[in-house]
Amino acid sequence: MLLGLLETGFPLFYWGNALMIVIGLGFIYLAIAKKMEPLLLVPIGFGMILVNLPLGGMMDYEMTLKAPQAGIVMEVPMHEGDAFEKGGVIYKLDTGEVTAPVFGRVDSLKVSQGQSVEKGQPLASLITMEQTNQAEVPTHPVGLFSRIFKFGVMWQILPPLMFLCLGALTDFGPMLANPKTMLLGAAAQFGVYLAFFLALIVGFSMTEAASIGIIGGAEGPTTIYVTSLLAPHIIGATAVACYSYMALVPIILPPVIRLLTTKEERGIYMKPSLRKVSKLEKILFPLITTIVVILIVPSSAPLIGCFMVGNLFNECGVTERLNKTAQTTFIDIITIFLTLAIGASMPAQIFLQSRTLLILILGVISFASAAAAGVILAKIMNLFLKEKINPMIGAAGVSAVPMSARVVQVMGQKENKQNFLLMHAMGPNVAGAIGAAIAGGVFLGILG
Amino acid sequence: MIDWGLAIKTAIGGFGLVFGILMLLWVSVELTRVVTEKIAGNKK
Amino acid sequence: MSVEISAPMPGSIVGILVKVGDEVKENDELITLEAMKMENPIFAPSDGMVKEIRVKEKDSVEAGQLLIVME
Repeated sequence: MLLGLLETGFPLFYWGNALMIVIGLGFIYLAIAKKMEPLLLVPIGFGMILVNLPLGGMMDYEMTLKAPQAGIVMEVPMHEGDAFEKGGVIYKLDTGEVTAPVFGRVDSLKVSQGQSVEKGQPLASLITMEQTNQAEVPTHPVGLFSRIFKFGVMWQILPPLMFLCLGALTDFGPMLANPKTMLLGAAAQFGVYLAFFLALIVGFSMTEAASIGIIGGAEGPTTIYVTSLLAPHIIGATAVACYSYMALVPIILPPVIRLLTTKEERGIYMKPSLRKVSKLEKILFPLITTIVVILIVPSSAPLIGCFMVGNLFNECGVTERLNKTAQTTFIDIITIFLTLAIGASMPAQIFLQSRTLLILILGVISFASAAAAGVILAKIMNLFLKEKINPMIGAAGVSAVPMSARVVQVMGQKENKQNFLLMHAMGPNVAGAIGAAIAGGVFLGILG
Repeated sequence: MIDWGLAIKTAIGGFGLVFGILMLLWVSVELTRVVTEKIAGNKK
Repeated sequence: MSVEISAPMPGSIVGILVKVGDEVKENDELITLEAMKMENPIFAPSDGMVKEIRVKEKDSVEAGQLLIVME
């Protein structure tokens, strides 16, 4: 629709865009006023705003609509620039209707009324913001963010690199000092599989359910990585669910922990001193883990491999420059790309659907049941251990490093001021990150 | 239609693998500790 | 009898809330230790008087390092 020379966004702006802009502003407000995860919420919120301003083109993909069968064009209900819904009729042929496989707007029409077309002949060029299955509906990115999204996220470059930086920031020391806590990180992956089943029951497909389940791994890059490969059309929802629940861990975890533990259990004192882990052990761990895990679950290679090489940068002592860059500048660069792209994957037409609400609900169930499983396994372990562990550290198996470990520390000190659980909780915490990456790798191996 | 057989296999197999691998890593961490302590001990 | 208070985990001292000679009660906060980007209060294990403070603000400490001696 042309208004004189300048094409404005107003004709295509609808209430959904307005609502998404309000949500984006809300994210930015929470980041600035409440200091909630500002490094994530500011760019995600801004990306959401940008992509909901029509014709900005930031997240646009171009696709060619081809004739599904031969026929004669009877009617052309669309004009160039018109918006259409998914399934909207673009052409009427004498042999049937040609509908849009995505929502979007018409860029150019290539045939006109009365013309006869061959099967497979290009009929129109359409612009959409939807992530499509490239085998069925090939598109190519024409906007800034859609390019970043395609070549960064869909080509699986940014999430593993993010994992590399997280590896550099991770200290496996507390876990190596008390390796039985690794089991708690494994138990917490229960949330992944519970949510996977619930998602199947409420009607999601297998690949969607896996992407929703992995939210409970509480690992942003893993969630994005798995979703981008299995169910790219819901990536905005799973990424936002994962990152927001990580930020909300201090609200989600405590009620679950309180429900499953007695006051006495929460007060169980753990000696502050963990065994001192030698440098050699810390160097060997990423090497051994890489070999063991990737031999068993090859599809976890990009995540585990990057995580461990980042950690080796940190521990080996001779790559201080690489380590410092990964921990500071590089992680910032990756964060900027990744978060803006994630924010931009949420145009109203895609995000404001009932399935988004379902994903958000399943995500919180996933988080809560992950914490519950960790606590329950810790209580079971206590039946066999001479030196009891505080069952709350099981909840730190919900990785969300280090938020859930902090929650455990705060709750522990509430019961007993002399109790310092932070380091004990870091064990299950980082093991949870490894567990989530493995769970993601298994999903990809079976369903990818 | 959902292939529930595959779903159950995916879930049980996946959860089992996560547990199995982390237990394997636990064992390897303990082994590393024993070996490195021995190396350090020999030096003294 | 003196009581030694040591760091429960590695971190850096961000606040010392008492001075030598102060009388403190059990569970009074003595020191704030920052670890894992989180401020952790360290409380007095019993009533007593602060006899020695072995660290100063911004010091980074190892786990088990002596922070305060109380009497």
